[in-house]
Formats: sequence, structure tokens, C-alpha cells
Amino acid sequence: MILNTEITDFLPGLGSSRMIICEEVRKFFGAFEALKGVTLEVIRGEVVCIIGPSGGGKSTFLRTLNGLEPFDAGRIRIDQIELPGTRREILEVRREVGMVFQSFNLFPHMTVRRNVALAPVRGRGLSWAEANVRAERLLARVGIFDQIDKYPSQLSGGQQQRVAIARALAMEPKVLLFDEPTSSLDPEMVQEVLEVMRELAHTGITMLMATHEIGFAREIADRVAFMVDGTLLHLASPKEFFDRPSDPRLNSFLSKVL
Amino acid sequence: MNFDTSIIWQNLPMLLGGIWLTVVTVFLSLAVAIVIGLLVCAGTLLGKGFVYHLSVSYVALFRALPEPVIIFWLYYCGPLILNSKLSAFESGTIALAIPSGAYLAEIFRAGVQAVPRGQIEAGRALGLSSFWLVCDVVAPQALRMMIPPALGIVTILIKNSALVSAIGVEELFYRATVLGGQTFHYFEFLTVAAVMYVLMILPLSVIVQRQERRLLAKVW
Amino acid sequence: MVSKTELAQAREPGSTGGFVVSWVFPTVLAVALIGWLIVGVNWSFVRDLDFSVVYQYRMALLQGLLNTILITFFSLLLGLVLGFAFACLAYVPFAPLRWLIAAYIELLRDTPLVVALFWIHFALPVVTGITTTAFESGFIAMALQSSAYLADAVRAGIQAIPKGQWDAADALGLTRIWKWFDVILPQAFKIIIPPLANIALGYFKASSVLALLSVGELTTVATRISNYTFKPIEMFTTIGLVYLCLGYLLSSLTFRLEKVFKTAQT
Repeated sequence: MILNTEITDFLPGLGSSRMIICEEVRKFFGAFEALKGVTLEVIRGEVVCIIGPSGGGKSTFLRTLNGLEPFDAGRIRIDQIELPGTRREILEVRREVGMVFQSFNLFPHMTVRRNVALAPVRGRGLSWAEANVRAERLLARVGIFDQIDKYPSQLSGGQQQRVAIARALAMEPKVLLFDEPTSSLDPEMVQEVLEVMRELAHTGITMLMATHEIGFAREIADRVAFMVDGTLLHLASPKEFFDRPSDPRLNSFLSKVL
Repeated sequence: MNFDTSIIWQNLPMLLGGIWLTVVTVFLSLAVAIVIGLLVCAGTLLGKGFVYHLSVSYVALFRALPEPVIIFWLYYCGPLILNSKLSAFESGTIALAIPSGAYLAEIFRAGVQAVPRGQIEAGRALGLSSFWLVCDVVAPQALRMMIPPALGIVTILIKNSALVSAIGVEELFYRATVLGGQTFHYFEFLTVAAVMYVLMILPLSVIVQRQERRLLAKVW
Repeated sequence: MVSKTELAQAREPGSTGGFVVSWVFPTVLAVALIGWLIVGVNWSFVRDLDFSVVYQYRMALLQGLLNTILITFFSLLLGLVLGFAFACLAYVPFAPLRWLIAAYIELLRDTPLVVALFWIHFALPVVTGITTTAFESGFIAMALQSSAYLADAVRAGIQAIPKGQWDAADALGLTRIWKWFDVILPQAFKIIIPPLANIALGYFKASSVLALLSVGELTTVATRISNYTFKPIEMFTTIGLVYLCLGYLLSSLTFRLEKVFKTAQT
């Protein structure tokens, strides 16, 4: 589903309303084609959820968007920057795009505070004092303020993931990518993370997430995508997606998970 | 069994001088070994083609050669091959550093490769430049994992330092055997020497074993 | 775990750091190395090389090699027996004995082999009145020290056996002796083979240390010949190659042994 070009696209400096543009993105791992021509556009402030079976390419696709995975064909544009760009451009994209991983990937040798404050200091030139203030604010927002001086190993999975979200937010990104953020969590901790993500969705930040939480996707997404075998098969509003699924494979997938 | 302690006290300065020289030898060798280890490790991790093969060969070669052979080779063949003359101390220190450097290269490599991939991804996703990624994320974690085995190498180095007595370096073992020969009190001097080595190595050995146990506990 | 290719991918294209490390630094090093080779090395030694001395003294060298193999093999055998004994003793319920054994093992591990060697040769006669030849001293020293490392390896092997095996043996009503001999030790043995082979390799290298007492193994012979003929390069390079070859043989044997025991387990 490709939206109409807006006039702002022709006026540089005002910023495009189309945050993410992907056209026919392909990626190979050796002979295996992991992404088979994925086309997707995400406009500013939109929340898009990608669901689908494991191994379908959801993670790989997300990782091409911030340059963690190089792609072999097609076009990716994040905000105003075309990937792959120069070293400087890739760095800038990564600072504009935040990512939350399935396995948290918090830095174990740093306190929670430093985990969150590090990137702004190194990447945005903040002083440690300023970054600490920002870290405290964000950690309070995700409800972890009282653990601020603990180490990740002392926290539960749900707490760690919330710290990871705060860490990504510390860079004040324009886009947040979530790679199955709750898949590694014990069931009782999933809700606390979804609660944070729900609150974020309402703030108007652009979010793109791969998830198995179908109910959550139905609730907060502006659009839902179905990805299987490296292809984006279906993209629609939640209502259309879940109540009137047209694709047979989507049908069978939904019947298994719902 | 008569342990004549008076003979020890009489020759204490000599023995202490020997301990000092042992310590100096170990420190200098270690410094050189660390440099060699870093270079060779860089070669195995980042090197392409010739550099990589050279580095890997260095490690394989000097882990397999007996230390006395390296020491003797350098001491006896050095004057014939090199234009500059190396003293026994210099020759011995370098000969000790060469195999230690090979072991350290392996330890450094293992430490770096043990940092989970997710850490590097998280750092990159946050937009950290390579420099800060290495400084803040990779190096601290790699170093933490390198320390116990590196300490193990230090204990091996201390034990090997006794070998350079064969080429005339007057470290602890040399002095103990010479004093033993002069006074025929081998029992006292050799026992003291053994005790001294144990005292030097024991704390390191304890730390290494404790770390190994902790690592095993984490894995389980 | 980060593989080499992953590490290469993590280093991204166009980074100045990568450029310096991959090209500038090795080039500078190479230039320095070549410079040193030209200036620091006196290449005329190549002209004077005469490997016929190796052939001339081949019998002595072979004898030395034989001594190396013999002393390594038999001292390790004794070391293994002692090591097993220590490891099993470490399980007795008598605490002071356990402490004694642990202290003894630690003592042996933290002493340089050459110090133990000289102590046994020079100090032991004073204490016990027994004198030993250099060869015997070497044998005893290697056996004792290797027993310490082997005891550790055996203990680790025993601990690696699943607790269920002990329970099953107890449930079957086996007495302690049979439990050890029939159930525990055979299984421990399989697990121990790889570290055991590593220790064997290490002590094969360590036999060279015995030269400091002129025990008569390969390095002793080579040093003697080198001092006599003034041909150290030929001699030491040759024995270096011999050690390398034998070491390689031993480690490939180990590798094959590991494979055999892996398949036997699964």
C-alpha cells in the first residue's frame, strides 16, 4: 500500500512525512533469499506491526533498516537518508532509529544509568551530567527509576527490557524498531513491557515492530503487515487484517494463533 | 633432618637479590610478551592473507617448541646471527617472552571473540562509532574474560624464569644452586627457593582457580 | 560468539580506523621488520651452515630422542597412577587427609619443574640418604609433577559424571570398591582422555627442562654436541624441528583419540 507523495517531499528542510521508504528490498544469505522484494512505507507517527511465522524474515528486515544487515537490492530511505550511505550517514541513521532487541543486549558491565546515558554522551555530545538527567527522566518514565544504579544481571527480564527501551529512547530517535521485544520474557513480565510500548505509541513516535503479540498488534497498530518466507504478503488496517483476511496463508496463520 | 637456618640468614642478601632479578625478568618478559601478544592477536583477528597466516603460524610454532630449546637457541645462535651482542639477561628475557606472547595472543583472541554478538549490535544500533564501541562495550567485557587465563600465563612465566639460570642469569634458582654447591647445604637453599616460588605463584594460582570456578558456576 | 567473519562485518566499510589497522600498521611493521633483517642480521652465517654434524652425531641424537620418549612415557604412566590415587583419595571422608592432598598438589603445581628436579637430586639424598642418578631424578620429578596435574584432570573427570550414575550404583547395592571400579572410573577415563593428552603433550615439551641436569634426553645431547662442535644453529634448529614433528604427531594422535571417544559416547 503506497501512499500518495506529499508536497513536503519536494521541500527539503521541512522533513518528509514518509519516515521509512522501502522498495523491493532483497537480501541473500549465500544462496538463501531471506528477503524477496519487500516494499513498505511508514509515515511519521505511524505504528506498524509485522506478524508472521518464525524465520519469515521479520528480524532480518528490521535489521536492514538501521544498517545492521546490508541488503543486496532495492532501496531503503530513512527520513532523508538513503541507505547504504557513507559511514557518517549510517551513523546518523542509527542515531535517528532506535532498536529494541529480543535478547535485550544490555551492557552487563555498566549500571542501568550508564547503559542509558552512554550513547547520548558518545553520539550526541552531551555531557555526562546532562545525559544522567535524561537517563533519570527516561528510566522514571518506564518505571525503573529505583533500579537506576543496579547492574542488568540484578534485574528481571521485564525490567531489563524496559531499560533497553529507555536506552533506545535516550537518543531521542525519530523511529523505534522492536524486534520481538517480548518473545524472551516470562509470561508474567510481558505486560509491563507492552504497557511501556502502549504509552510510547500514544506519544506519536513512529514505531515498527515485529511481534507475536497478536492482541497487542490489533489494539495499537495503525497498520498490520504479514510477513512469511521473506515476502510482505498483506498490509492493512487492523480491522481489515484480522476480521477480513484475504490471503490464504494469512488465514491459516491466524487460525493457528488466535 | 637438619634444617640449618643460619646458613640461610647468612646468605639472605644474595637470595633476595636473586628474587629481585626473577621479578624484574618476569616483568620485562611479560611486557614484551603483551606487546607480541597484541600484535599477533591483531594479526589473527584482523589480518588478511599473509599477515593472518604469519600470525597463526607464530602461535602454533611457539606453543609447540620447548622453552629450553628457545632459550638455548637464542643464547647460542644469537651471537652468530645477529650483529648486536645480547647479554644473557636480554637474551633470556626475550626467549621467555616469545612463547608467552604466543599464549597471550590466543588468550586475547578468545577474550574478544567471547563478547556476545548482541553487544556489538546493540552498540551499533545506538549509533556508537567503532571507536567508542570498542572502548565502552567490547574492551571492558573482553578484558574481564582475559584476566584469569592471563594470570595463568604469568605463573607459567615465573616458573620458566628458573630456566634462564642455565645461560647464566643470576636469578633466584641460579643463586640457590650456586650457594648450595658452595656450602653443600643444597637441602636448605633448594627448599627455600622452592618455597619462594610457591609464595610468588600461589596467590595468582588461587585467583585463577577462583575465577575458573565462578565462570563454571555462571555457565551452569 | 563472534566469528572472524562476523568481526569483519562488524568493522564497516570506509572506517578510517579499519584502514589504519588493516593497511598502514602492518605496512609500517613490515618495513620495520625488513629493515631490521637487513641491518641487524649478519647473513654470512648461512654460508657457514654445515648440517653434516647432525648426520655425524646421529646416533647420539637418536639415543637422546629415545631417552626423551622413554622418560616422558614412563614418568607419565607413573604420574597417571599417582594422579588417580590422589584423585580418589580426595574423596575420603577424612578432612585432614583431603587438605593434605590438596596442599600437596598445589605445592607441586606451583614449583618450577627444574626446582623440583634439583631438589630431588641434591636435597633428597640429604634428607633420606637415597641418592639417585640424574635420569632417576628426572623420572621422579616428572612423575610427581605430572601427577599433580593429572590428579586435577581425573578429579574434573569424576565430577563430570552425572550424579545419577552414583545413585544407580548405590541402588544396585554395589560396595564402594566395585562402584568405583565398574561404574565411575571407566566413565571418568573417557572424559579424561583429552585433558590427559594435553598434559602428556605438555610434559613431552617439559622433558627438555631435564637438560639442565644433563639427564641425557634430546636437549642434553644437542647442547653437548653444540658446545663440542661449535655448531649451535644446526643442532638446536634440528632438535627444534624434531620436537615440532613429534609434538604434531602427538597432537594429531590426541585429536583422533578424542574423535574415537566422542563417537563411543554417543
